[in-house]
Amino acid sequence: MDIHLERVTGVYSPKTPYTKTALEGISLSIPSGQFVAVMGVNGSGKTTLVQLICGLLHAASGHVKVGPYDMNKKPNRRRAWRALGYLPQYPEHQVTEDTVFNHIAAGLGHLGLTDEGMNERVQQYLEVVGLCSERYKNASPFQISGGELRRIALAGVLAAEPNILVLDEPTAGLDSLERLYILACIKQIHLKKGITVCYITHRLEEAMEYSDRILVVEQGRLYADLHPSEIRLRWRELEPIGFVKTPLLRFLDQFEKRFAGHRTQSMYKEDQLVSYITEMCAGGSQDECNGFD
Amino acid sequence: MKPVLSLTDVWLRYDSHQPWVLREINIHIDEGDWVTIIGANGSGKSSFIRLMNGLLQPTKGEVIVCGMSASDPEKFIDIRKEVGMVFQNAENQIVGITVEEDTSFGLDNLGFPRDEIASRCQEVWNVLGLHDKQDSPPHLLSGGEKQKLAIAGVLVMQPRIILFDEPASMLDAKSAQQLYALMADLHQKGCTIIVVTQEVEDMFHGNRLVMMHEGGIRYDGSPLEAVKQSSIFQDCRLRPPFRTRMRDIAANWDMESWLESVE
Repeated sequence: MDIHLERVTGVYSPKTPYTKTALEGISLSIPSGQFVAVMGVNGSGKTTLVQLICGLLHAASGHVKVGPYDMNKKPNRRRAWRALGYLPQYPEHQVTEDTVFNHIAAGLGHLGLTDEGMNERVQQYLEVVGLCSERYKNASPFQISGGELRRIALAGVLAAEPNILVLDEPTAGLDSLERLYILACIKQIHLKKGITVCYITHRLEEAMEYSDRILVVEQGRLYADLHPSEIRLRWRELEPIGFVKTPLLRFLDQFEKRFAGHRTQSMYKEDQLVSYITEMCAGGSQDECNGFD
Repeated sequence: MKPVLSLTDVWLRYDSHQPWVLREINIHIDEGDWVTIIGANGSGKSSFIRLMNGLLQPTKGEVIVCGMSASDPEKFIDIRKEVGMVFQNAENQIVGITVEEDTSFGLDNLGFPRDEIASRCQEVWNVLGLHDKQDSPPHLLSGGEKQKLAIAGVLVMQPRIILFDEPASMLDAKSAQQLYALMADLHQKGCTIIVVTQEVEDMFHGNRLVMMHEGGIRYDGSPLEAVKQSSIFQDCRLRPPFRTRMRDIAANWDMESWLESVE
């Protein structure tokens, strides 16, 4: 399912003294199967953008289309919601069920599964997020750690088997290993099932590592739309709107300064740098390695 | 130098049926230190700093803050004058209906004279860049501005020690960078800074690093020494910082000296 936005405007509290235009004139297409990171400073309109895509907010003007469905129309939104999975920011703030099983099952009511089917489905997705179903399904969501609860919220969204997964800062507040784990889960599902992922992040490091495309929102407008490999080339555009270099980017800069002529310009992932260094040193060019000292 | 904060053989649990949240904590922090505390989710970081201003009481052991025992109820108010705390979510500590009212709340409660309050507020707003916002209602501020307002409320009290509990977790990269610049400024002026963070990369701001694992202190020393030992990070269930990851690669090829030249 593709996503199309055509000159979309998002307005909060229209026709009141508090009216605020959060997004203006956004046009973009996200083809099916893409992994898109949405970035921008606090208050730039990122959450508004993904909520418009999900039909949780309605465009004040313009059109949002998800697959064949025009999201401006209510019956269409209901159909589109079957294909959409949305994980809000800090999902653990809205736990309402008494057990992990019920929490995950709560979102699956509309699928018409039998009890057995439901059981199977919950178990399957607990395992997808790396939690042992036997141990967790009867646990209270209030007695497990924040990282586990985040994984359970993700399992709940994935269990409905959406074609499009929309996530609002899925790794905020988690420690470094838990962050890697959550993103690896998402990436794996994305690759295995070819689903579209659209996710908000403040971490450039993550966006470069996992996404195929980075959308940058600034003051309610689409400021940049680029591939992670273009980040370094277009840094001059990004710096003024609050982008800060990651350790990898700083390292590459210094690497190039120190060893002119090395081809690191197109690198944007840590793996690439590691294999570059490894190849250079393992590839028999010992002289070249020695030259580093 | 006499430590400004010391915890001696401190143990903590919330209930006698529950496991220990903190075990055998011994740490002495000098005036003017900048301590970064890192650890995985659930390692006890937040409980740890809540002992430092008397928000939590140790089950066993002793906490001394600026020469006062944190278990002495008569010292609570004095301790909180010396130790300010900035919470993870700034909105949790904003109480006023305008920036001015919120900033002056603490001083108002302690019965400071009007002109003293006004001059301290003005000074703090100038430092934080909030001077043109004093009449704004806090809910109309951006995330970064709310964070600054929370800090303003702490700074007007002129504390000797400031505790930050994951202060940058809700901020974008630029605001986080500005926040750390501000912290460096406060540190420069003599404040003791204690920061709990999930961001391993932030450990380089401080002069001292404490790594926690399962309620205990696993490492207490210089961040630049920790960088050389990826095993400590792994023991604490943390991803080592970028520099350490690169070092590990370089070590396979005897290239550490080369790496240092790049860093």
